[in-house]
Amino acid sequence: MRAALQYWRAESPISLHWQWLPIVVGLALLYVPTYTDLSAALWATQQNTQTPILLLVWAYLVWRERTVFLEPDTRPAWTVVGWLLILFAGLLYAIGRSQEFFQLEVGSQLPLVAGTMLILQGPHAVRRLWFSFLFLFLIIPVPGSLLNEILVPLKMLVSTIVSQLLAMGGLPIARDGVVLYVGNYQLLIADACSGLNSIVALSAVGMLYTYLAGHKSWARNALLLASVFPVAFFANLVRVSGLVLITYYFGEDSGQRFHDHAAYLEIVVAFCMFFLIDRLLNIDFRKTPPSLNVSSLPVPPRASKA
Amino acid sequence: MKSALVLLAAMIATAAASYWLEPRAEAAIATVPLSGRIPKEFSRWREEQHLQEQVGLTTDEIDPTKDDDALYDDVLMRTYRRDDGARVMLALAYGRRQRQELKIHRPALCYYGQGFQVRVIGNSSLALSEHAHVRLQTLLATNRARIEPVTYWIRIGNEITQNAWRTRWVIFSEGIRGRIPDGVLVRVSSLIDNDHDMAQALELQRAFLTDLYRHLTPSDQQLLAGVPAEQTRVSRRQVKSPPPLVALSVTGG
Repeated sequence: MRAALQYWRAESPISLHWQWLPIVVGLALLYVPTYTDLSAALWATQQNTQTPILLLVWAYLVWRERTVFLEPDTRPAWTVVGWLLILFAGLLYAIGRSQEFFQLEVGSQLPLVAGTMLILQGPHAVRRLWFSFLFLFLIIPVPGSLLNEILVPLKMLVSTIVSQLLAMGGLPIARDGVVLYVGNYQLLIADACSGLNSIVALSAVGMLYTYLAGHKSWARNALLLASVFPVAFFANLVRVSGLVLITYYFGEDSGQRFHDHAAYLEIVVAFCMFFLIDRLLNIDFRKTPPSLNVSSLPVPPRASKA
Repeated sequence: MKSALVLLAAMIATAAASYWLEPRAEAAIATVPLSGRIPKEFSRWREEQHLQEQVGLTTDEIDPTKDDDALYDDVLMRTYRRDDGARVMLALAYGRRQRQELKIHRPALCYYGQGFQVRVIGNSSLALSEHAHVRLQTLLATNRARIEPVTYWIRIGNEITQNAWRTRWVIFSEGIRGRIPDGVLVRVSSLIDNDHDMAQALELQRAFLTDLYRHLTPSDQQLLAGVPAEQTRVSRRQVKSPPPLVALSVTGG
């Protein structure tokens, strides 16, 4: 058995690089149709439009750890786990794709990539790429039923808060359901404006920030991650309020232009807020005397080369 | 390299399996639209034109990005008046291919999405005929302009589903057996002036549904409420394979 395993594991240096070709071909065979269909079905209705950007970011995260691809260090036990993951991934994909369960289809990438890495490179590769795997989760589309259950109340909340805030500021604004009436204009908070898209994208920004800042303290990282949703929601409120104000003062065309570019504003606002929150946490964590709690010693954030 | 090639083989096998598992049997395309199937006059009821605006069938009535056409293959909305003056609004929505991400919307969500406050009243059983029983769901939708009790059911395949998760399960289990189920929403509502009239309104809606069902052809009855229980039991005894979707097809009738 051991001899067979050793034979199996013996690889010539040249084939080590070429071995990625069949992997790439296989992944393309499976996932190019997946993303093509996804773009037709979901992105047409403006859901999950951030997925291409997330994929690019994911590619960057993997590239950052690209030395992982050099020296294989496989372990037999982990290789078995790898094959089990491949089997699991195959089931997820086959059922997901044939029954149009996008979540299973897209989600199958996680065990597939993890399994492939375990089989070809070994457990150390998976350990180093753990964050990029976490990131892949964000790419999985939210199921439609769940989406509606979240989207509709979210839209209500956004329109309620925006209309009340702006009314307090003296703006002639009224609300009926998810329609805002301001001045001569009528604005509908469409599904795309409810902010679910941006919440996913901004969660990605938050996770990325936390990862790149590289704080040693788990508590601090957890606090940063916990602030992701409130920050995303707040950034969305800023966007919708901005849209209402610009439409009221500058007309519909300006409003439309703002709407089209608002996503970038949101990301900038969110990033700034994460930075501020991190600074605040800095003050809080510095207060802890070093002798008592070594793990929460402030570590100066690495100059992010992102 | 060997491992990589085995992995490639596994991925090819997965792609093949996903193709093989795809459901292909569907309900036949309807030749007669709903407007031709549902009688405009029957028993004590008569259609009344241009009177009440009905709440839409999607979560966004005025959102241009939401397309009724994409979701449903056939929609019918009518107001009926009984000879004693009582009125009900009927909304039917038919989707020939119910899929995980493309299926009939539940009214609670539609009303809520259009600014109504929705209160779920409950569910009850209704005997449409000797063999056809459906589980009705009722809710009360209110906004500034209306108080509207709503009675509805949603048929997916041959089952009347009570919630979105059950719908997903039916679509999944039909899909594993190679079939794409069709689905229909049958929604009846009326307007009342205050909450006390609600029980009476719900009774009216039940009476309307029973009356309507009795005046439909058998295939239209199946379209709305599925194949009655006794019929499926009989066909299972006679035929080895499960009742094909052809029984639910909407051609002819």
